[in-house]
Amino acid sequence: MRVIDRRSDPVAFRAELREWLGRVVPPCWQERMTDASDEDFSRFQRWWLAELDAQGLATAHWPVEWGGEELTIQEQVIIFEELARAKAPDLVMFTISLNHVPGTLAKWGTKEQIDRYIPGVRNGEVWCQGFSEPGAGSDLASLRTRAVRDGDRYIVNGQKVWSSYGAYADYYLLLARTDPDAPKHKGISCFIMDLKAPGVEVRPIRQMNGMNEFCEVFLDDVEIPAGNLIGPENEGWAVAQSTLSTERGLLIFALCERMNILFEEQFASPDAARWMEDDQLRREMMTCYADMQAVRGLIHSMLADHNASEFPPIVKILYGETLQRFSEMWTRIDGLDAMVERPTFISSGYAKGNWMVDYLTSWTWTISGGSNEILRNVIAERQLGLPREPSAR
Amino acid sequence: MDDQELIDSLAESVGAVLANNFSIEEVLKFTNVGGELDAEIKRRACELGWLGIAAPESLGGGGLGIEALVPIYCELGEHLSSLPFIGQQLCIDALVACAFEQDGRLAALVEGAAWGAVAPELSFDSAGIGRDGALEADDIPVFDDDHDSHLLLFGREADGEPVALMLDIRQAERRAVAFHDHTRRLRMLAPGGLPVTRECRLASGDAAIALQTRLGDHLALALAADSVGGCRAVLARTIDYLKTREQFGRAIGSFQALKHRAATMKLELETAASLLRVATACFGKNAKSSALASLAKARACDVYVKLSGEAIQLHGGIGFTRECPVHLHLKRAKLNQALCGGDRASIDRAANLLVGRAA
Ligand SMILES: Cc1cc2nc3c(=O)[nH]c(=O)nc-3n(C[C@H](O)[C@H](O)[C@H](O)COP(=O)(O)OP(=O)(O)OC[C@H]3O[C@@H](n4cnc5c(N)ncnc54)[C@H](O)[C@@H]3O)c2cc1C
Repeated sequence: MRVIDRRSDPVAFRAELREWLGRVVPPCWQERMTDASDEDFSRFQRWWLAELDAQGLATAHWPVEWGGEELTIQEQVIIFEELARAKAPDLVMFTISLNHVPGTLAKWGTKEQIDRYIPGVRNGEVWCQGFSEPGAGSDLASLRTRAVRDGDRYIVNGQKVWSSYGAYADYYLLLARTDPDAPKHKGISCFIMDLKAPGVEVRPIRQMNGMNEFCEVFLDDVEIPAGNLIGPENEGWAVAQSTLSTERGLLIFALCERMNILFEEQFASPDAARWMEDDQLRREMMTCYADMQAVRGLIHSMLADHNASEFPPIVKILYGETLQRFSEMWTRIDGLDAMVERPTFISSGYAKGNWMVDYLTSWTWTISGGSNEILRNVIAERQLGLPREPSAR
Repeated sequence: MDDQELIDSLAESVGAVLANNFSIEEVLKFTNVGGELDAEIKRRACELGWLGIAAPESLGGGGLGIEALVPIYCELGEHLSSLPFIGQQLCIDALVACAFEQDGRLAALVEGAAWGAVAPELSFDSAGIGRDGALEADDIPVFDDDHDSHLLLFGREADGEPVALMLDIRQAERRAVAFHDHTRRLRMLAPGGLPVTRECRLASGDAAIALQTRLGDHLALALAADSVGGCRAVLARTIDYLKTREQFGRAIGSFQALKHRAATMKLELETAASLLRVATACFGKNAKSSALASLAKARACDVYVKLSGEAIQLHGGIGFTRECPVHLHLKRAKLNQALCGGDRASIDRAANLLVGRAA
């Protein structure tokens, strides 16, 4: 019997999950993953995916017909809380595979695409997202990578950048221009691209937090079979909206649970004196705690009510800013000690307790996937109905 | 030339040397692939006589005061320089203040034949002297390299009497520690066990306390100036980027949301810079001037952290890479902030001084 099969009884489900995690999460995995080689990191991520999958936990958020469980919010909450409590590894390498790929294909994928690619995700195939370009970040629709139809295939040329986990990935969700003469939002198409195909060059970029998780990707006459077009030709902008709006809620929720556990451990620790006995730090700590609880609450509401379409940009801004403030505050609590470089392991940007690295990594959340500035524009213009910026095209 | 003109032209010439030969692009290369930049800048600093600016003229120095050093600290911060100028100047200041003008150590420091380091906490609790006359101290982080010869340190005699020490650390054990700030060299120094001879003692009792106050203020101003200089650079770089980077068919700096962010950065920089000038002008006078030095330090570091963080955000994806120097500023700012006991200690020091309470 798999852990997920206990879900009908929340108490037993939680107990079973906790017991299972206690058994399988390797005690010192953080140390093992610290400065691990690419191969070790990738092997470990695959191992953990397989373990979770065997218990029905990796893709529990998927629809039933794809082998998911269509969990209720309460069940999802239990999983995240227990994963956080157990300090289980997070499946960073599979973020796009497990969330954005199904999110995109569910709405736009053909039966062939779903049958061909979805099982691979469960088996550990890695996907990454090839949207941004050097000249097209916030203004994604200005992208210039070209895909030209040639019989039953497309030929792609161009350059992508900031593709997270590109060095580990097998497949690419690619946005490319298929009609250079159409208005900029109307000439883009979305593709599934094999990153191992001839003409693809992936170069990791060194990051300020000491990692090199994102990559530049050069595309030189890369062939894509026409059957790998997702959605209609030139409708890529709409397809990309599904990719981008993929429940970031779930991801942030999982991270918030980890932050929450960290708070709880702090409250119970003798170490708490370090901020409890300092008026300023104590108050800052409580402000962060309140922010974190507010974000959790918003995510709960968002997951419970699919009409809460106002919440996603709010949640993303608040999580990123809370994480930034929280980790920054800790660099001041630890003082000089926090300024010493310590090796770390790759994660999706949450509070790990290596505060300076957590602080630096927090910009992932404020810049990528719609920067805080762009999301504030979205809130102001689409939610509050304020007029658009003059001449912003 | 009057003193002010002299000071301005000095800072200008330091800035020019740094901009031409030790630019931030060079520093970035140095932090990414290594090289000799740190040794090179020390050589140039000696050659060009920067080290003796505040030393007595009788020793070939410039005979100027803190008001000449502060603009140079700014320039060094602005260029993310690795030159261990602050430790050197604190050691010189200490020797001059204690009337050790004839001391060979002073001449060597002025020439650059010796290099001085300082324990950044400047606390009497950081070291003690045992009955056997040997130093008892934990390891201390210092801006220092393997060639440093002197360490300025405060501590207590076996009977508890405060004492200011300058130790010969050529034989002391040191190990390199990797700090997030790669623009400067830091070492963990293990001075414990070093013999404390008579000539190590610069001042005792009230004189040591007065020296500690003076050097505490000096260090605070130096770090404030380093930070203000860093703010200047990080703001200039950001403004440049806002003018040249285009999205949505226009320079991103034309979005009012970003214009206001840039304007706020400017306001914060000018506040920190003004506070630094005010504190520099009254350096060494009284409790109020000490309080202002501490407030200038706390504010400048805080603003430096904020501005570098904003700069990363406003640079977008590029700002997250190691090839963009903005993160070097953030890491240096964070380290500056953590020195001298951190921001809260500086602000509390000011409050205690102004209200007349012992810290
Ligand atoms: C850690 C990390 C991981 C990433 N992973 C991926 C990935 O896997 N795949 C992928 O495709 N991309 C990825 N990205 C790219 C990310 O989506 C872009 O960096 C982001 O969209 C911003 O684009 P840009 O970097 O070109 O910055 P720019 O768009 O040039 O923005 C620069 C600054 O201008 C502001 N700005 C721009 N336009 C406006 C406006 N109209 N109003 C107000 N302010 C504005 C921005 O908010 C920002 O502060 C990643 C980025 C990071 C940092």
